[in-house]
Amino acid sequence: MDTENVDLQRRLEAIDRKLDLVIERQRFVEDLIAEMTPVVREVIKSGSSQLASMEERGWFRFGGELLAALDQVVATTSPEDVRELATHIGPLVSTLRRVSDPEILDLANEATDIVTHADEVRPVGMMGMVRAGTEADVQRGMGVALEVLRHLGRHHASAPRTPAPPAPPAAPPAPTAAPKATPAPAPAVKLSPQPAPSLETVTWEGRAFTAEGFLLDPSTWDEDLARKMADGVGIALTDDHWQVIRWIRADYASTGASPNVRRVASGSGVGTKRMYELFPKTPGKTAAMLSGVPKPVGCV
Amino acid sequence: MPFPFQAEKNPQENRRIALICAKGGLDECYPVLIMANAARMVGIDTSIFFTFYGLDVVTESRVDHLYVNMVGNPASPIPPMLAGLPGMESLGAHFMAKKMTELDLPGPREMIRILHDSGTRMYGCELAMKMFGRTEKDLLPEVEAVITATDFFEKTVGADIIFV
Repeated sequence: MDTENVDLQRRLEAIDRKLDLVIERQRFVEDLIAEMTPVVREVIKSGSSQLASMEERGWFRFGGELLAALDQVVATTSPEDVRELATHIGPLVSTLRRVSDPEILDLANEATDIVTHADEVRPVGMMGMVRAGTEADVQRGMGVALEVLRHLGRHHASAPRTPAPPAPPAAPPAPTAAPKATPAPAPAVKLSPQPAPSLETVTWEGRAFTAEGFLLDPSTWDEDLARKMADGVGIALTDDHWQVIRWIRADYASTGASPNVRRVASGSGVGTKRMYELFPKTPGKTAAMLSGVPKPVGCV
Repeated sequence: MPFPFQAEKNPQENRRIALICAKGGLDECYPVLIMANAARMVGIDTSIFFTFYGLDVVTESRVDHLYVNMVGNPASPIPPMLAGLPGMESLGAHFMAKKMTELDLPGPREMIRILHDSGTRMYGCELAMKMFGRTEKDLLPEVEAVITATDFFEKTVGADIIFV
């Protein structure tokens, strides 16, 4: 019985100690809260005021817009585009680094300064330009500008001609070709579509012809072909036609060039007048075409 | 399948040109004659009106003696001080004719014949004929008629007029 009492007594004491500890902690927490409350309040106050000022300065609107813009970009950008971009990122970064070079930035600053003070600059006419051409600074600038132009031209000439691709990713200039300074106004290089000599060929009767109808390889000609071509252009071949055609073939074989009308007229013996009767409208062209030789050059 | 070329109409089909040759220098008439011939070769309807000194080009006694005037021609290789010396025009014509032969270009007389054969219509100016006291007998047979400027414009309705 005694031992039981002693045991109970000990347990109670232990509980009491624990309770003390709990109470102690509780008090500590209360102290902490009491102490922290003003601090936290202060933090919240300053935090919300900061948020308000951010709002005031448009951070959230900016963020929202940025997200919208990003969304737009993601929606319109295909994985291929991204891959394409990735392959260009190296040169792009090197270009950026070059552009952010303090010297270049200084130059850009100066240029913008000049632009903002443009109304203080007097207008310059043709003579003024010529006069300015004698100033050393202008001359140096022109030298740099010309160098930039030269590089642009060289780059343009060496760039592969792709006839109007849907979205040409502007190839960054090769690092070595990048000029040191870029104060020159970018010249408006107009890419006029050049009427290149027509290289397209047309196949007819198993032979290749130029777009104008001249046989590409004169050795593939035969009289049957001439007859079919004549049919096509509305000419019924007579002995006189054959006389001309055979003479042209022979002349081409010996000279390697298509004879002009005058040469054909006198050489074949039919005369100019008859040439215009035999091959109306365009005697030189038509006779050469039916003879299977290239289009004659020259204007007589 | 028919031959797929020239089946459509000749693009020059409805084109007409009217050249007016008013000068009689060798270098001044060649452009007219060559242009006219080139036009005919691509099927353009072509007429030439020879007037004032241009009449020499179709005058029997003059056509083989057309000269190159060096005076007042900044493009000539002869210095202006010497260009007016006697015989210079003849010298110029000689060199030009030589060059033309090298290039296989016919002389004015043959050019006129070729043009006639190719269907170019050539006219003499009536007023210029009177002024120089010439008759139709003095002209080359290739000249179709002697007409007035008014007639010429009536004959070349719709043509591009080229004054040389």
